[in-house]
Amino acid sequence: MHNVMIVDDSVLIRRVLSKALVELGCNVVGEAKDGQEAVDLYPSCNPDLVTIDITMPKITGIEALKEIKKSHPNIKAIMMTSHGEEKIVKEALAAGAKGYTLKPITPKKVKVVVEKFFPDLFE
Amino acid sequence: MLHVRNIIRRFCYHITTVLLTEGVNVMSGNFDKEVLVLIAKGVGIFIQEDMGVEVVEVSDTTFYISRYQPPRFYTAIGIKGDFNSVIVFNFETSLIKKLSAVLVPEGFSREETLEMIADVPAEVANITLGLALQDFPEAIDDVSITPPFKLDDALIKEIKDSKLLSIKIRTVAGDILCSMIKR
Repeated sequence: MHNVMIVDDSVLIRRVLSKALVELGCNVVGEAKDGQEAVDLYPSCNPDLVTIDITMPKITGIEALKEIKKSHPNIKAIMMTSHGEEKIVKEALAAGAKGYTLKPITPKKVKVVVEKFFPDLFE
Repeated sequence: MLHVRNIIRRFCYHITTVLLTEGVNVMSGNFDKEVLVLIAKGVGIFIQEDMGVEVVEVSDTTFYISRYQPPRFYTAIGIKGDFNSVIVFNFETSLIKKLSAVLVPEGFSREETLEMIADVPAEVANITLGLALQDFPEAIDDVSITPPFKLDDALIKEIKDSKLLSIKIRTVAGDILCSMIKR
């Protein structure tokens, strides 16, 4: 099973992502609504992939990624971001993110991500 | 699809005329109106080209925060860095219904669906502000945005005498009012 964790302060985005991921054959093992919750939840979920919104309350997605990476250096994270945040995206990639997806998040965009990380689901 | 760009181009021409009439030089550091126009442009393009809702008119207005009554669907986002302000996005319910039909997935309970619909203003504001950031003038391009938030009483009290510069975007499904609060 391909386990995915979702980190986003928007309930709308969490549900759009969750529904699309499940329909593609993934298992959503955890959801966090801010960076701190992601840091706290990550060890118990131990996902194969985590989607992280960049702009969130408390600590940002990039700060959360950096924090998780300290104890889980092999974390596979993809960042969710808006247009116009290119500088922040570069920072996220430098922090170890494996890619990014621009909002609005659609099932089609989720499929592109899943194909990249879990190609066996499409064989 | 050129329709919305023409409306916004006409509006940009109008607001530039207003700026010149008022003696405001956008190169002198007063970017308020220019930034708000760019945000309205981002909103208009997203609403029409991504959401398929026709934009019919863009107009500007000014009012005082003391007269401001948040509608059912609204959100605020802060801009920080070279340019500091709070942008408030008010949506008419009829427009939120139309946008929700595109953005909110089916197959959830009524309660879950209502929760997602309540999040639509924040997502639209987040996306459209991101679009606008790409076009910000070079002098203020080092900015970041906060997560969407609701206006609390303390903020409204702090800024109660502020003038709000607003741009209304009229669509076939309802209006969006984008307002800038300078703190």
